[in-house]
Formats: sequence, C-alpha cells, structure tokens
Amino acid sequence: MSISIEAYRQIVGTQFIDELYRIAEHINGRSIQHINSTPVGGGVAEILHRLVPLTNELGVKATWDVIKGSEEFFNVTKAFHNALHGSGNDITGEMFGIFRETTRDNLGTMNLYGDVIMIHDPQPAGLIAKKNEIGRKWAWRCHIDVSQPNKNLWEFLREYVVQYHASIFSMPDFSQQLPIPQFLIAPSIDPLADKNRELEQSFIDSVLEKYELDPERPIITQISRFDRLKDPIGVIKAYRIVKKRYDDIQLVLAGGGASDDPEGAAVLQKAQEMGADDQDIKILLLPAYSDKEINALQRASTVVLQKSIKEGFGLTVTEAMWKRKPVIGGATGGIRKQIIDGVTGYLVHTVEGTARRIIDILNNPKHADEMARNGYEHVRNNFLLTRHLKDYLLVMIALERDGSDVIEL
Amino acid sequence: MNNVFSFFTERRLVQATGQRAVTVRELLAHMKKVGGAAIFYHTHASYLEHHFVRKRFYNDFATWVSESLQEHKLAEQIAGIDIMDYTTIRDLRNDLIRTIQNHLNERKGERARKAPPGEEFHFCKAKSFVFPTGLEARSVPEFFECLGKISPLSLYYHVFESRLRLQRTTSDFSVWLTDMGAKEIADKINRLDPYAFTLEELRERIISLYT
Repeated sequence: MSISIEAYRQIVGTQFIDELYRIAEHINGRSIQHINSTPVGGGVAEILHRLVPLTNELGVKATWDVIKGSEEFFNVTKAFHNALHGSGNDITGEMFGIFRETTRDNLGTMNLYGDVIMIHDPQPAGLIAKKNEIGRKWAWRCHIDVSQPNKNLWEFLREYVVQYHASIFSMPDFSQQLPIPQFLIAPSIDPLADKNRELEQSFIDSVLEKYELDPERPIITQISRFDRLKDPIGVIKAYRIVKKRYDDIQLVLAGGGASDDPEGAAVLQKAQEMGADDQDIKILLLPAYSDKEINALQRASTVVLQKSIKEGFGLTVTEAMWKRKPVIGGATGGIRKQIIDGVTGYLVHTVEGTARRIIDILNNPKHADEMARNGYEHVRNNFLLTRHLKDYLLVMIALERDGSDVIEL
Repeated sequence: MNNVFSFFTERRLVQATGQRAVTVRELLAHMKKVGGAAIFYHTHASYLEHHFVRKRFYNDFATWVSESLQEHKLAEQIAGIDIMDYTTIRDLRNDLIRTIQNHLNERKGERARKAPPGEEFHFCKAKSFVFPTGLEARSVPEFFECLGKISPLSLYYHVFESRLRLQRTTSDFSVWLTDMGAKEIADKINRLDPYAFTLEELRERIISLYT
C-alpha cells in the first residue's frame, strides 16, 4: 500500500512538506536510480521501499534496481561487510576476483539509466565502471561503519569510490580522506510504515499470545538480524544477570535474515542453544514482511535493547525511540548519535552495564518515560524519512551545481 | 528602497572534510587549513539543533575540548570568543587560533590529552540551499506577523548566515526595518546578542521588541 506524502504533514508539519515540493521543483525533471544488493532484509531495502514512491510523488522520477549475485558473491560481500567494520582479516585475492566477476556480470546486464545513479554500499560499487561510457551523475551511498576498515579492502574499494562525483556517509566518524565531496546523511525510519505506525491493542495482544509472551510481565526485546556484531549472545548474558533477581522478566530476540547474510544462521543456532533451558527466552526468526509483528513486539516491550558491538546506524534504536520506549544501546557507531546518554536512552559498553541499565529502567519508570519522550522528539526532529528524502533531493541539486557553499534556488 | 521583505529559508547538506583531530595540537593544525565554511559550521551548527537540556557551549570546538579532552579552561576561553565582534570568518578564525596557540604555549612540555576512540573531532562544513519561503511583508506589522510564522531555519538564515557568512554587518531585519522608518526597533535588534538564545527564544525576543 502506498502512503501519500500528504499523510506526513500531521507528523512533521505542513511547512516541511511544502518545502519538499519547493525543493523538488529545482530538480528540473531529472531522475534518480537507486541500486543496491537486496530487495528485502536490512535497513537499506526498508528505506528504499518507502523513499522511492515518495520521491515520485514529489514529481521527481525515482526507480530502484538490484544487482544479481551468487551465494558465493554474497559470502564475499558479507566478509567485506565485517572487514569494513574492522573485524575479521580473511580478505583474499580470490574474494576480490569474485567481486570483480560479479561486477562484470552486472555491468553487462543492468540498465543504468538514471540522471543521478545512487549506488548503495560496497556490493554494487563497481558499476561506476560505466561512468565514462554513459556519463550521468554518480553518488556512492555508504551505510556501513567504515571508521576503522580493513586497510587492504578499503584500498580496493577506494579505487571505485574516488570515481564517483560524491559519496554519502551516515556519520562524520565514517568519513574518509577522499578527493570527492563527502555528504553526511543519517538514515531514517518511516513513521507510517507497518513497522512504525500506531497499532490497535488487539493486534499487539494477538502477537504476544502467538509467541507465548505474558503482557503482565516485563518484556526486554532486541530486534535485529542474528549477526555477531549485534551481540545477541551478550544480550542473553545480560538478561541472565538481571533474571537472577527479577525473575519475572522475559526476553525476546527477534530478527529476520537478509539474503546477503549467510553468516546469520550460525549465530542464530548459538543463541537458540543458549536459550534452550529458559522458557522466558523467546528466539524468533521472523520471515520477511513481518514488519507489523516487529512493531507489535517493540510496542509491547518494557525495554528495547540494541547491544551492538559495531553498528552502521542502528535503525532499531530509532524505531524503538519513535514508539516512546526506553532504549539501551551499545556505545558504537550511529547508536551514539541517537542516544544522548541518560537523556534519550542509555549507552552501554558491556554485558554488565547492559544488565545494570535494564535494572535502572525496571525500577525507575518515571525517568524511563522521560527518556522515552525525549527519544521520540529526537527522532521526529532528525531521523524521519521525510528528512532523508529532503537530503537526497539536495544531493541531486548539489551534483548539478558548482562547488559553491551557498546555492540559491 | 525595497518596500517588500521576502523571508528566505535554507536547508543544508553537511559535508565531512575528512580532517580529524585527536589532540588540541591537531585541532589547531586543521583549524589553520580548513576552509572558512568549516569554521562557520562549527561555531554555528549547534544553534540549529534542538537540545533537551541547555548546552554548556554552542561552539563545537569548545564542546569537544571540554567533553572529549577535559580541557575545561581552554573550552571556556574558546566559548568566550564573542562572535558578534566579528564581521568576517577570517578574523574569527584568527582569534580562535590565537586562543588555542596561547593555551599550547602555556602547556609547553606537558603531555597532550587525547580524545578517546570514537570521540575524535571531525571537521565538517555545510552546503546551504537558500530559497524563498513565499512569506512577504509589506509593512512593519506584517513583518512581525510573518516572524511568528517562519521556521527556525529561516530565522537562522536572516540573523546568522546573512550577517557573517554573507558578510553583511547587520541582520537583514534591521536593514529593512530602518528603511521602513522603524529605526528604533532596528537598533534594538542590532543590540541583541543572537548567540545568547536558542532560535525559538530569539524569535520571541525579537517579536517582543515590537509588541
């Protein structure tokens, strides 16, 4: 179901939506083609699902295409992903070969037609090889935390990146020494998507019943892919510390798998093994399109965790804040940008710290509510889809204009 | 004389310059080299953000030096630089450099404090996209009516951006009000220190000068 841009007026204000239309007029009929590596799973696909139709509604033609790759290719790009996060050093020449080969295949089959071509993340980065042949304006949108990348890998990717007209990173910490402009654009959530919109209590109750969760007892939740860097094992450990004294708590670890994330199955299995002896630990592998259920689980939660060791941005934190939930997040990547410690949530560094903050929230609901309200306002001001849309429109304009710091429209 | 005041607003794209600092010395080295847009950005960006608690400093350099390096004396000295004293970024930059250089001279031989990992100072700048809001005033009463309707960004553009970045010595507001014969109000606006307020507070204060 497509939701009109007009529906956002009540959330972000009518002035902001009017401004979007005004900015869109300055795109002058040019189009934008987004390209990434997966149609479902992960934050990038979620954002594009919403962003593309809204861009079109503003009168700017937007399309979205996905590169094709074998399981072997996605194993390589998963290893790239981890290595760009600074973990794992097993990047080999053979992997570069597989990456180049898949890039060649996609260069041969993909139709690259946008006036602006926005390439998301490393997987399709090699498509820039077409730039000299077809022209266009090219932007590389990096959603990953590349603050401490594996050097060999970054050098490999950098050769592609420097050919773009501009790059886009989620935070200044992720930016690099590059000869091209580096725009900073935080990701966003869609407040009207199934994952974030208000739900009827009866639906929330039905989800709790389905997963055998007791609405009368505290629910601690982490929603994220079963990925080592999201530290679901650390979450179970923190839960166990709290459970010793607060034996009524329940833990939900819920997430889907992405088609470019073959490592996830092993992490899921380990979490299942650890949770096997406790009926209050619910480990849910949710299929794609479970957005409404995820929304219900977040809304039913007493505390929402995102205890990541490394994080690109951490949209699950944004989602929970939008639902006015007290949030505890690992002090890494974009989570640090969203959580102002003690003001919009709690930042933690360890399993022990996570347990401590869960206990704080369970015992101080008034302060938890205050943080939750602040978190909601913080998201409304900074991390909603409409702001993201505005930023991409501005990038389209910036790519056409000169390098001036002040552009008069 | 133009009898119509057109309210403009701006939207911004923030850009990383790629330069980052871990110590005061590195901050100083980059401060000497970065473009004026980065100096403007780090002395003004915080005014555009919503803060749940009043910030100690609205100058990014001061905030970083205080929070990540625990150099509180230097932070206060940097924050103490009165931006209203400057009509060019170049002069503002020179005094920032002088303040930090004095601090380093005083601390000669002492071990430099380093920001913890993840708290490095990243030099950024903003690309501003300026466009009319569609709101126009043809009289002084209309002007103040519009002022109540414009976004904080529009206020920011007319008060901060136009004065220092576009190098006009007074705010757009006072120039027009003087032209319209409301010199007394214009003078009062000129005497306001916009850096002492949040944007919402500033709007209220300016409106209160008329009512």
